[in-house]
Amino acid sequence: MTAPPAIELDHLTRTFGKVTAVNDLSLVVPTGSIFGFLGPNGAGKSTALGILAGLDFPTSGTARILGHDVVAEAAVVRSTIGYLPDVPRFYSWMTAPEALDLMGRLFNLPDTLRKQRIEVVLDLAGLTGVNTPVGGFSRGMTQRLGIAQALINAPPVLLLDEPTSALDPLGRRDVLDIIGALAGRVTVFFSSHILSDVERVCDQIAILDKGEIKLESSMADLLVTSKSHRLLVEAASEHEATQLAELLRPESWASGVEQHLRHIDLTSSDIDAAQHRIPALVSSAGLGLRRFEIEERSLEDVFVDLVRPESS
Amino acid sequence: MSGFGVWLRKELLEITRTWRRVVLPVLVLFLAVMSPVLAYITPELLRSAASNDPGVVISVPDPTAIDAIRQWAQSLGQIIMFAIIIVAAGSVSNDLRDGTGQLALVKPLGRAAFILAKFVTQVLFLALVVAVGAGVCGVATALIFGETPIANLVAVTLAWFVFAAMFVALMTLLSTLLGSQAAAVGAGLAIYVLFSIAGIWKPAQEFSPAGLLAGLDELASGTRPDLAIPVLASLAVGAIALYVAVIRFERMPIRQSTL
Repeated sequence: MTAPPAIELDHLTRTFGKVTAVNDLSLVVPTGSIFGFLGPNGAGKSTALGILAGLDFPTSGTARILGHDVVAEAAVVRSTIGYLPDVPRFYSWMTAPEALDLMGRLFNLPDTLRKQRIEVVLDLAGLTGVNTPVGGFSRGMTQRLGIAQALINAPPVLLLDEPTSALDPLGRRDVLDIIGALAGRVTVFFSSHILSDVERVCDQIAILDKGEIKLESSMADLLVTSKSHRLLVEAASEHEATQLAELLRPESWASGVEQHLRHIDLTSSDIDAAQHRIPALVSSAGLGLRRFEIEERSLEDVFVDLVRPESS
Repeated sequence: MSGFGVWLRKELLEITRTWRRVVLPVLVLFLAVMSPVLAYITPELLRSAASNDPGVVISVPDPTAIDAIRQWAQSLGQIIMFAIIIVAAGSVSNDLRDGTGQLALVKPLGRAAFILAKFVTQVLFLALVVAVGAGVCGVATALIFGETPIANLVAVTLAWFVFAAMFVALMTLLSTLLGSQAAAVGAGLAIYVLFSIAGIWKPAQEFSPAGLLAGLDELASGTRPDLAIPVLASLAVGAIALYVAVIRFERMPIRQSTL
């Protein structure tokens, strides 16, 4: 029998009145991956994470963590996850070790193990020896303590909701370093709208917009796609553009060939082939070429293309 | 009730480490001392006021230890109740508003345990503070009047405590349902006023928690009204309030902090 995936969403839907925050979301997060859950603000990322963490409830569909239903088996799920909200809040009168001790006690960790775990996660978060009340912490320190509390029970699955969005560049780097250090040991489900953060630490991604999955891919495949080039070709006439588009469509290096009057837009994953084949095709067909431009596409272009309002 | 003991420990620790350790004890102790003092000087103040106007004759009996206990009963039923309403109104909503509850509720802490630990902590703290307050009031009364009607003092404090514990349960419910301390204070004050008014109406006095509030003065004076039904009604109302709070909280989406 194969082990269940770390996270499995099956037609998950969450509505608030007439607003659909998460719409028929189906997703599988493989065990051991660092999964980037990308989307613009309001896409439904926090709602989905809230359901996984047991803070909210689905309107329909199911969500499972390590095979356990997050609603029906909430107690089991809560004992196997670590969760960090985008702005973690602690009791201001507690010190970091006290806050972690409280969380460790909630997991019923024995005294010796609890003390060990507190030392380990304080070290991981760079907070060893900090004994001032949490109320005086900077945002970066609070966020690092947030990660520490999420790891106190050594969870197999870690849910991080926008862990870097409120941080300055140094704080972001620290948090990403911590997440990167977990690779291979913990499944991390990491929501963000900061593409560079996702590119740096994630090996799988899904892009969410308006509550729906727009793209699900491994980071390696996405990087190949994102590193592809957009080409703009202008033929001598609309008729010749139609002919050239027909010649380009079967080419293996060309995708997304679209014609608009005399213009042809396409994407190429092999720029060398495109640079040689397009002039050759134009020449062999006896067509006229007015313009041939190459644009590099970034991961951001892929994201923007997927989540851009249709009107624009 | 997973995590109840851990959360109870945290709530008790919070009282000892924050402003909560000061506000209610200081208020209760102040009123405990002032109750016999006020009882002692009030007749003198009235006589003094009357002597300024030769046409007015006020006959005021000499103050007694009973008056001190009546004053204590009045303080419990009014000022201390208002303080309890204000403090208890934020018990659940403040944790949810601040986001502090969110981090705990994704751990193996049952939502029922979260609610009930808060209620139990408040009631335990209230019991301790009021017991000390009653003791101080008794000592101050003995020092000023030379005697303390201990039975009256105990009866008043116990009857009031049952009513107050019920009110803490009601405030826990309001704090859970309304999600705002200010809104819960408003609703709590409205309910308190309703109980006060209901206390004037005989059937409500006999068969509802309002009877406890209305009966405080009689208990202080040494008469013993039958408060068995109001006590049972208070316990029932308190239990129902907690039950509803837990049931509602079990299915309540916990939103991200907006601070």
